[in-house]
Amino acid sequence: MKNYVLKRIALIFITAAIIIFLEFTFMKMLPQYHQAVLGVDPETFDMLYEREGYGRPIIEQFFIWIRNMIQDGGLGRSLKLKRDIVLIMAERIPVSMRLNIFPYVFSLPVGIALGIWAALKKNKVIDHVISIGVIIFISVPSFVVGTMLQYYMVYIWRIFDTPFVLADVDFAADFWRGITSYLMPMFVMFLGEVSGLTRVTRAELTEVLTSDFMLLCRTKGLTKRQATLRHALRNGLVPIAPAIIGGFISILSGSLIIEQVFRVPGIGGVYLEAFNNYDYPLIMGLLMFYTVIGLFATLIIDLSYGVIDPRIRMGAGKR
Amino acid sequence: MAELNKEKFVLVQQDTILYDERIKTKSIGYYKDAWLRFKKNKASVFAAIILIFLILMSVIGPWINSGYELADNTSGIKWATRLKDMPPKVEGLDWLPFFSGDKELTGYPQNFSNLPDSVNVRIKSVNNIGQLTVVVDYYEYTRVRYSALIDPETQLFDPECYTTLSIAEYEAVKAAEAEYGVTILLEDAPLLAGSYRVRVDYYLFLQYVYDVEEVVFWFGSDGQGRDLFTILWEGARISLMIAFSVALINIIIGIIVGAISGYFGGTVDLVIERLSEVLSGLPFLAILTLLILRFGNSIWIIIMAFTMTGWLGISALTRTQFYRYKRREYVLAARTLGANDIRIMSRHIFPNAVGTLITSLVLYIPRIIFSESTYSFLGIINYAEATSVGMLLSNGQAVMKESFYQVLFPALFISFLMLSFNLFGNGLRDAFNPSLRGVEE
Amino acid sequence: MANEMEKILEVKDLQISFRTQQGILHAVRGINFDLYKGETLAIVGESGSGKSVTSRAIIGISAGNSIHDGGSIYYYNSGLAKFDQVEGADNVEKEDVIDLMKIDEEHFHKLRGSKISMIFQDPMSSLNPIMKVGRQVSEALYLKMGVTKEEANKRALELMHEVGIPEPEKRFYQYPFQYSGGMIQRIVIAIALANNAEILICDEPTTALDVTIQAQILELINRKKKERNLSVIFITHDLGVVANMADRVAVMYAGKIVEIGTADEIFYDPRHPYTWALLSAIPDLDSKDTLFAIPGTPPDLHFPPPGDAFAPRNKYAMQIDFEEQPPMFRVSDTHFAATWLLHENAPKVEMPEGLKRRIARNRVSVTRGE
Repeated sequence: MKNYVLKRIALIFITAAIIIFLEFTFMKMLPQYHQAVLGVDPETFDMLYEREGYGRPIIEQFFIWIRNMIQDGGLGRSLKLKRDIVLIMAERIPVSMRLNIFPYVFSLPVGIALGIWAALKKNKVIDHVISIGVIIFISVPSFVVGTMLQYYMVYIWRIFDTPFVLADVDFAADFWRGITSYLMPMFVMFLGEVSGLTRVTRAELTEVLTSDFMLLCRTKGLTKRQATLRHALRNGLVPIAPAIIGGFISILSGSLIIEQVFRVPGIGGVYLEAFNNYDYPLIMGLLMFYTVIGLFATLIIDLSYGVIDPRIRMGAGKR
Repeated sequence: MAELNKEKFVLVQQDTILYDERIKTKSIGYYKDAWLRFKKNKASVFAAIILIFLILMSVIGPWINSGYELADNTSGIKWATRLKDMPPKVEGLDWLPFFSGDKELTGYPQNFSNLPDSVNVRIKSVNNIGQLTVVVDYYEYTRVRYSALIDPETQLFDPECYTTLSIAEYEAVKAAEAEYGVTILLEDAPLLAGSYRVRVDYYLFLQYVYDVEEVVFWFGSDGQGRDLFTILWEGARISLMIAFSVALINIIIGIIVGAISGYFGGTVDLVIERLSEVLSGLPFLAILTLLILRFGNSIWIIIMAFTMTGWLGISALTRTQFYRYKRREYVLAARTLGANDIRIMSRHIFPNAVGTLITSLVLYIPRIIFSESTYSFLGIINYAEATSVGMLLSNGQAVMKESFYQVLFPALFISFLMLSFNLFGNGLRDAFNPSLRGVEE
Repeated sequence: MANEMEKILEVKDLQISFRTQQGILHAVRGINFDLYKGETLAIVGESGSGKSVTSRAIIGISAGNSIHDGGSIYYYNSGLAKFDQVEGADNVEKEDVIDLMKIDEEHFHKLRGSKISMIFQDPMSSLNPIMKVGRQVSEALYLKMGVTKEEANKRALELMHEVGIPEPEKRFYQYPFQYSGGMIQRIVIAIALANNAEILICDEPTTALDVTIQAQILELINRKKKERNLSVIFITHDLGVVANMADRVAVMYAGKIVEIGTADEIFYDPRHPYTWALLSAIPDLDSKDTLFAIPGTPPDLHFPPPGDAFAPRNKYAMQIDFEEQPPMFRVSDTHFAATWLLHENAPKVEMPEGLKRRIARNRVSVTRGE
């Protein structure tokens, strides 16, 4: 098991290094990069030239960049926003996290419960209803759902007065209004996450319920209830545990779509702005952030497989 | 027990050679069998029909209403913007409130009081600063606005009524009047600084000078006066083309890589697996944005972005399939008979995987469409050739209060497309792999 | 001898069919047999003969799309009536008889494990792969018997030892993937016997194992049977296995029992042409005849034939075989066969020569005490 963990960590680390290096190199190859970063002012030009290590082989530049990052304790400086990237991130990530956390937390029990219900009542009415719901919200993209929700909630039914999130509102003064403006984006995220979870849970549980060892549980004399609780649910939920853990990690990264549709000032929006403004350092910093988060999630998922599956835990056994 | 006839107790087939009974049912091939199973799934068949319809429309749609090409014509563009944000109108269906060409406007009472009856002003509500919300026949309203609107303050013709024609346009108007005997010019004016500032019946003007047969937008018009019906299908066409191309390319690459990896195993497999791991760590966002930053926004770049890492999933799937089947006895038999590797891979192993592959192909396409529409909604993808459906929706979101149809039609299109693909794909999967569905309990 | 033995199960005119996509499949078309305490009854037949369906009906795990067309399975002296008032108990005061086909799921689980147990064909998929083996053995004990967990674990260890698991203390905490197929099958047997069931149904338990392990498992089952006076129903298509295990044999074909008798009677004096065919098809080193294979395939039971189902493949079929189903004819008190050949009007037909010779040969070796 220890070997497994170390192996996975080493692999992920190498992969991350390679990918970030590729991203770095590619960015440097962008034609507008040099002017944009180095600027036109000849003084700073020379200073930056030296500092960033231009004119040296690309590998060296990469290490210089890393070294600079560690020395300065940051990810560089945004061009357009004229601020340190880490500060920008520190400001915006919590906004995204606040938005992501509630749908995630609520979607877990609801999604799993619906999936279990559908699997236990397979092919009956409730299963069909749930399955139809699942397929609708999996197929229709969240920006469609979000936009339609905005239209109906704000303009037709007049439940909310604005389709967008009020992030700047003074919570003390207008607490209720501030909270409710977050309801719509959270609901859209909630729907998406629930349907994904329900679908997987239903599929896994169904497969377990029709397997041979469940039959043996019945012939042992266990009631259907005992067999389901003690065996089916455990075996069925095990495959989805890694995905759930991975989902937890991705609370850190913002959903670009939701933040765009509802004008949430989170980390996703920053990337879009950076992209539209050709703000290369910011793009680079954010890409690195996303890459690391993604790989970290993958790592955690892999490790959790190791914990859950006894075959891996025990080093594939004696036979 | 009734008296049994003694004659019945005679041996009848003692000396005949007994053959296997003729199989009563006709033998059906794998695909025919799958097709029969597929047909039984009503939802999937329905989804398939919708899919075919949507694909068909994306091909012929832009041609159907091609009477309106104003926005493509260089000199016509400036006139098209006058027709922006018009609600949908379908002649046959204008008794339906949605397709009647009506639009809600908000303004002060005097803005609406002097409109002619043909505009059909209906008052809906009054708000607390004295403004009226009315429903008008917007097509008629637009015509009046650019032809004969009276300014409520001055009681003279509103400046918006006046149209500045170039010399060519003016002559064309005169020529059309002469030839067809129609009155287009409502108020003439002399040539002034190379142009004529006149008042025309706007729709007639468009009809006779720019060949706009009739100002009617089935799905309404967008913010630049383009026919939403046409550009929706044009955008659909591009999205579908991209999706199918990407799917095809990724499938081919994926199958080849997966087959090699799965069949040969060993070091080849290990190397490919490591490479795949690194590639899969590349966030798609990074690939897409970096490529666009470097090479700009064209269809080929987008396709390239999708095909950089899109084949990984398929290659993993193929690899598993090959692993599963390469140990079977018939492969060994084929090899002992002298078949070379390629033959074994293509004739013996691959056909087994086809069912699963077709299913994953069909379920893969909607994921591509999903990604593509998401990124075009965000504005990252932005074709020069046509407006993607996602972008249409994003544009619509800005004006959704007054012109909801600009959100509705793209939304409906995407929803139906995705739903149909997913249902169709599910039906295919169940048809090819009945064991996955589970026992009918 | 049958009179001395206590009847424990009586299957009476059992008919079961299934709802399938192609229509109604008549899997079991009216079978009758008894099971006596302490004996092994082997049910032999090809795939599709209905043997598995019957056994699953006895333990109440028939598939969801099964239809009980008729007949009963009577279980004598089950003691279930003592648990609580049960529907289907014929006469609670006078005689302890229940009809298993009438017991609903809610009550059936009381019987399973503690009265009737079953072991299946494929050991590798019989156990929960992510639960420790010991726990799967002790589970039934403390859930149903009401003993404490420690007691249950102790008992489970004893059981594991009983079925021949080496180092049970260590093995208790291992997972199924660390066991071989034969060992898992032993665990399955241990689970089946944990709550002291009196009827054990074995559905082809050795088909998936190799021959040496097969012998061990069969020997284990025999031993347990003697120790606990179990009544065993042993389902198989392998006549060689039957020879080792069975006291009585029932031969099934196309949803009906075509012949039933003691093992000696079936092996040395078979009367039904299907039984002849089965016996002839066993490879025999000593014979010089060509290997016999039964031509044709069993009928599609979506369309059950009007007469004897075996007739189309039967060299000795008569006209009446195609028209009417033969009843059970009595050969002896314990031996019955459903073939028109036993009717008084039938021509005298004897079993094939090759088979006769083989039986004679075997009889000789038996009397010689080999």
